[in-house]
Amino acid sequence: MATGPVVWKRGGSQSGGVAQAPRPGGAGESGLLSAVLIISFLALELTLLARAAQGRFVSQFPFFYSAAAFMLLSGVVVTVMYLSVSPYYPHAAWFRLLMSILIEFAVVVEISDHIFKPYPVIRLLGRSLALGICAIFFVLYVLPSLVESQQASLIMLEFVKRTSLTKAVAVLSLLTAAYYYRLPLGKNISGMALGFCVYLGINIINFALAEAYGPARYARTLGVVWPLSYTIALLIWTVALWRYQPVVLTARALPSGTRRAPEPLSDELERFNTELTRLLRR
Amino acid sequence: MSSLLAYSIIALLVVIVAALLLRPRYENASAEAEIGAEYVEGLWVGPGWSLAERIFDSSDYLWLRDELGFPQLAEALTCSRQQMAIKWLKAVRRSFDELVRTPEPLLPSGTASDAPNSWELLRLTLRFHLILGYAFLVVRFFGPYHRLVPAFGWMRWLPGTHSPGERYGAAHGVRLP
Repeated sequence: MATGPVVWKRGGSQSGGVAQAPRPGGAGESGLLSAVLIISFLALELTLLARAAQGRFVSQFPFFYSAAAFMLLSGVVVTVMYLSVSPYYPHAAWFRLLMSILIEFAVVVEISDHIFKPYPVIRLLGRSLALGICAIFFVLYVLPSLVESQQASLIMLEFVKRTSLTKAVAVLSLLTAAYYYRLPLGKNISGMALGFCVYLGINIINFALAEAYGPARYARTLGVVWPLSYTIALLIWTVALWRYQPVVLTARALPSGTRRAPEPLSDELERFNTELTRLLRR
Repeated sequence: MSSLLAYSIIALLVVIVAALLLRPRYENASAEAEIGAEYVEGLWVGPGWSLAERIFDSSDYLWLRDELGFPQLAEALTCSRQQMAIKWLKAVRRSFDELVRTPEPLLPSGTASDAPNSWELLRLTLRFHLILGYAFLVVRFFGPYHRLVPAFGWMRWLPGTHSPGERYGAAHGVRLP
């Protein structure tokens, strides 16, 4: 999740990587836009959390709302530090940026749990799928970019871009599995996934542009588009999570005329496996 | 620049695919659930099972080809049975997917749950998809009478499986070209 309106600027500290800490936009049109984005971010984030608290459904989406609460609190702290010209601002901004990249995985876990948890047979499919994809992408795609010797800012751009793509692939895999099994998603999870994908999609383009044009030339645009993407996601999430609307699950219907109780699921699965294998062994 | 273009296309695809996967569906979910239950119930017993055995049984083909001497008719029968086999496998997959969609039953408070191990259920699910996927490939490319036994020989080492002879008696399939 974005850190609120930021621009990557040189200066502000004496130490290498921290020297290019994300900073809110300066004066002029960019500064005004940044201020609007900060206010929108705070207003939407507060609305999202307040609605969940009012509707008493925070506990239904624990990972998602924990991530949202972290973004709100850390956003307020970092903005106050910037406005008060604190010397610790660059360190705090970097810490928040790195934490937000990690915390975004909580949204993937939340989507996974809500899609698959009600179904005992594939309860672990979502987390296994997400974990497997993230592990494979990390080893083959994210890690190589970290070990390349280049500027700290370029490594960070590459890291954000690649982790965004990893999360996008993980979410799309979960949605594909849900589509394959025709699992109902509900308005809450659909909105959460759509907002997250929009945010990740914009992030991927934004950070690819930043990499192509260089952090120095693209810094101002990056600093506006990044928080803008998060604000769009927040808007989608606020609409989708305005009310808690759980998916109504119906028990599997027994065929007409059947009176006996259904077999345990493990027995039925075993029967599918053995009977099919038996038939194909003929 | 090529990298930028590639990432832009990927990002657009992410949003488009997500929107497509999230579009509303299942207007007729309850009716589908009932049909699925019928499939589950009828596939492995009575006429359903007889039909499956007949589809994968090569004796008609051999009778036409070897005893009556109509190889063209035998080939036509194979094509027809191949289509039936694919439809039957699709029905099995549909039934299985219906079973997978079974939600967890709500137990009264104080009732001990004897829920099976989730990893075991996931293992059985993935194993079934593996077998079914393999069966689809073989039926599509080699026809319904191609014997699958050799390919499943490794399964005797999987937990919970036994050799065909122990469990079901000797298979009477004939290897065909």
